[in-house]
Amino acid sequence: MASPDARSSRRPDRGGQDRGGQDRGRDTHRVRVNPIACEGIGMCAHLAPDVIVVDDWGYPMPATRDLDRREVRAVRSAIAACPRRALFLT
Amino acid sequence: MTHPAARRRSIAGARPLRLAPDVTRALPLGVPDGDQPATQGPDRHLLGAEVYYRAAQRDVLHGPTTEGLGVHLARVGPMPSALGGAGGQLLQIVDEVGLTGRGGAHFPVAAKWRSTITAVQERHVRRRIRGGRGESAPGEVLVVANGAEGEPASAKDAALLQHRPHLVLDGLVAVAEVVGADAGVVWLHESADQTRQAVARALAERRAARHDSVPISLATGPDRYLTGEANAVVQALDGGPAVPWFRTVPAAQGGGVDGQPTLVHNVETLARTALLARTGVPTEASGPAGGVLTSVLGRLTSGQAVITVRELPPQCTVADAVLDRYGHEVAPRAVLIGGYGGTWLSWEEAADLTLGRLDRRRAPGAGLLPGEVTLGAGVLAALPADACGVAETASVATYLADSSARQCGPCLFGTRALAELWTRIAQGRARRGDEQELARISAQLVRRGACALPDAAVNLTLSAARVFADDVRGHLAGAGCVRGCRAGSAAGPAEAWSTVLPVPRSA
Repeated sequence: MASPDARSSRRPDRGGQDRGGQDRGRDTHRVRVNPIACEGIGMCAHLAPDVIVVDDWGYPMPATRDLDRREVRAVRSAIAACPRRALFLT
Repeated sequence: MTHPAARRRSIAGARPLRLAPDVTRALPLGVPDGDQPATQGPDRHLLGAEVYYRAAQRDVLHGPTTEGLGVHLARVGPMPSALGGAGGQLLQIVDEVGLTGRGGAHFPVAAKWRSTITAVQERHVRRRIRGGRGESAPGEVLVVANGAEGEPASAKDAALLQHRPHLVLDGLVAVAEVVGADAGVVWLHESADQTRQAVARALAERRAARHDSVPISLATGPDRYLTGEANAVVQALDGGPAVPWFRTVPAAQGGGVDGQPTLVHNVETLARTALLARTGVPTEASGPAGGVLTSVLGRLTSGQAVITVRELPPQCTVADAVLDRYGHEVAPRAVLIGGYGGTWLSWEEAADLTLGRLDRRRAPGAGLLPGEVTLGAGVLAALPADACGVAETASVATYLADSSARQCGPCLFGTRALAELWTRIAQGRARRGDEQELARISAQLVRRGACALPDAAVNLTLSAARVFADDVRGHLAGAGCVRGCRAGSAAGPAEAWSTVLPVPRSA
């Protein structure tokens, strides 16, 4: 049972423990955002500008298409830089 | 307003709804004209009778009493085993019929069951690998009957649980058997007293009769719009708050309560499952198992707003579903189809659409035109000729923004931005470019939240802009509302402006 304040600390999604390996061995990659974890800090849009643009309020809008290898590299650096761990590849 | 359908029904339409004694008479799946052939064999209705609710409070105004276990079993017959027996294998039946989720999203039920079955099997394998040690902290695989009906204009789930709780509970147990779940839960709003009492009595009856193969418990969450959102239900049952949560592994596939698979089904989905288990795949001769369950918003002669829950045949048109429960002499202007996240259509567009045609899954990327609209969770709300579409839309858009769990940035800012935009239009203080602003904000909100609340606001307001273009222009021109809506005088919060759609006041 989670304590009442578990959410205020914004615990990562429990599916997230698999996230590191989730994209391994796939031919195609897409980038996704956990919109609850994301706080619109914007590192991702700086590091992967071809894949992620921000909306009116500063939140990332990732491209909804398969990424090429160069884009995947950029997204991986964005994932590593995200302070909220809100970005992942599928 | 001289649409053929309106003319055809003009006599019925001119007859305001009265709660005459004959509303208690069971209405066997008939269109108002009543030309339905009689069906043979066990009863194939979900409800059979109409139920009336006061729209503001959503409490029963008039309806049948709760059906007990004995009467229920005499009417529909015993529940066949879900994994074989007379009803055939339930999963195959549900797959062949193409049953979809009745909470509004219309996700295929068979696909959901299969993913849970796979997850449950993997769980058994994992336990065996751990050498039985896993047995000490297993967690339960749950099936949830979701009766926390968030849509303010919907009452079909309440009607089912209050009138025929055993049909829903039969379905819950059947799904638990199919997927190999350990327990069932009925999930309700905490102030839904009438529903909770009916379910609690039904559960006591079933326990006394040792009727079920899995234990079923009752749980409630706060009276909010999002409490019935599937991931909110899962998070609440997991000890967290009843707000949506983002999952990389869907709850049905193992990302649910206690890290186990949790299957959340709308109560009507379960009632349909229980019917299908008994009837098998419907044939031309047998007719469908259950009609289209709709919540029709209308008014009594006293002016009181009521929601009529009606089970109608798929060939029934929107005009037939709405008009004789509508209580006005003139045809409506427009109909909101599918609920507060649904779509406005003009009366001319909507009148002749059949419920069977509307009763479908919304295609990805579908627009808001008559050919793309879905009935969602079955809500039909007609807007009378003298009501203002702008005021109604501003009220509901504000309600949706107030209902946000404020977790996702795009919803926190964007859903509110849509509500403020419509409030400005309604009050005649729109800014230059506000019309383009609507399209721009909407484009940034589609599929941007952990749940579909921002999408709901987009569907509502974009379709309103199309259908109520005249009203919008009138308000923008600053000449005030030609229909005399309350928004122009700017008294009170936007939620108070609607005169047709019920908008719960936020605390």
